[in-house]
Amino acid sequence: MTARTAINRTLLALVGLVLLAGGALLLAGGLDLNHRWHLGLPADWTVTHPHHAVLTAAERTRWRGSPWWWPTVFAALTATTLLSLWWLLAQLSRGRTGEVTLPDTADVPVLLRGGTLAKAVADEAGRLPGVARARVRLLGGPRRPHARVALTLAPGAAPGPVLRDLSDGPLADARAATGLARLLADARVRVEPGPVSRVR
Amino acid sequence: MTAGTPAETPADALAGTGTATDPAAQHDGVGTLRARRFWSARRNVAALAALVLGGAAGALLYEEIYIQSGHRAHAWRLRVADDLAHRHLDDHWVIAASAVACALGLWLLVLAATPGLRRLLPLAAVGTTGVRAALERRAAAAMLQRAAIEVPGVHDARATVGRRKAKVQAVVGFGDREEVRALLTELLARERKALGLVRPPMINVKIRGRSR
Repeated sequence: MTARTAINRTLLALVGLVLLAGGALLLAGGLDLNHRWHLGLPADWTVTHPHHAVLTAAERTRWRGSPWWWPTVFAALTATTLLSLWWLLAQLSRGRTGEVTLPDTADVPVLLRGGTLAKAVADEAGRLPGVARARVRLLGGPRRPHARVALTLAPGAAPGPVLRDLSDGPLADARAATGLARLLADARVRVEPGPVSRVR
Repeated sequence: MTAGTPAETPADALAGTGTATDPAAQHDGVGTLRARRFWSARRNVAALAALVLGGAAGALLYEEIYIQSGHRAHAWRLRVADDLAHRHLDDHWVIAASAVACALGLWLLVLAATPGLRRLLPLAAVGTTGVRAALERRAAAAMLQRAAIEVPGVHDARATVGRRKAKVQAVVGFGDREEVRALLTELLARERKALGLVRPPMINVKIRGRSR
């Protein structure tokens, strides 16, 4: 799981939890579930009374006189807005590796363009027997990139042998050429629609 | 057809729809053969949630700054405040909105906790290092369909592959139906192994005669 996947899922779970809890609380108040099902919510919570307004003007302006109120409101709203903006912008980038740091060149830092390595792997993968097309993208940071391979098999090819060839050929070569000990790869396999040779 | 040995017994082919007996699903002690699914990044839902959240928070922030700098509140803010102050909790709209919020929250939690990418079936990692692979369901269907059409006597075939089950409908053009069925079942069982999936789908074969 990439960092973005983990962040997205954590934030989605957080938003979902807040929505679920808030909705459940209002629903329990509106349907008087606190009395009917003896939920044990504090009786002085106005949200537990069905005939109470959702948010009265007095409740809304209750802390307006307190010195902490406005700084808190502005800080919370600003933080939420900026966090959402950052979250949104994080979805727009494709997460590609710009440059790969070659580990064996500690004295003279050598950077390899991610696209170049990806293209080299894709070209070699495309020439494997049974592969019609191969697309490769490098994702992740410069020190621990991982490859995402989209393989389109020629009609009649089986995935197993092709994946073995991919692992032993292009990916092993990329590891050897760059010195990256771990170059993990995700391969998504599809099949080219092709004419079927009928045996009659 | 490249994989599979001709010496496989038809009995295995007929009975070989259970996953427990399948060698491809067992741990071979060398590579890990767990059914590691691909996890979706949930980019679209995250972008939508971020957009709605940021829009709402930004609008409120703007409005508060606008009011603090000596302006009168906009009409939408007055209406929201008025609605919140005058609608009771047992108002139909409030109950409907709460129910929607509950459902939405539950849906987001489900999205956060499930892998998604249901169109990808995990492939067994045999003899590979550092490669995690998955086969698209449509590709699996195309391979099964191809295998079915190559059977002598089969005029046409359709295959659909679900996450657990596959359905192959074959139209028999000539020959004895039962013979064709036996051959088809055997070849499909072989193709099922050639797919190389961690959890190969059970194949349900249906045979029809030609309509014309």
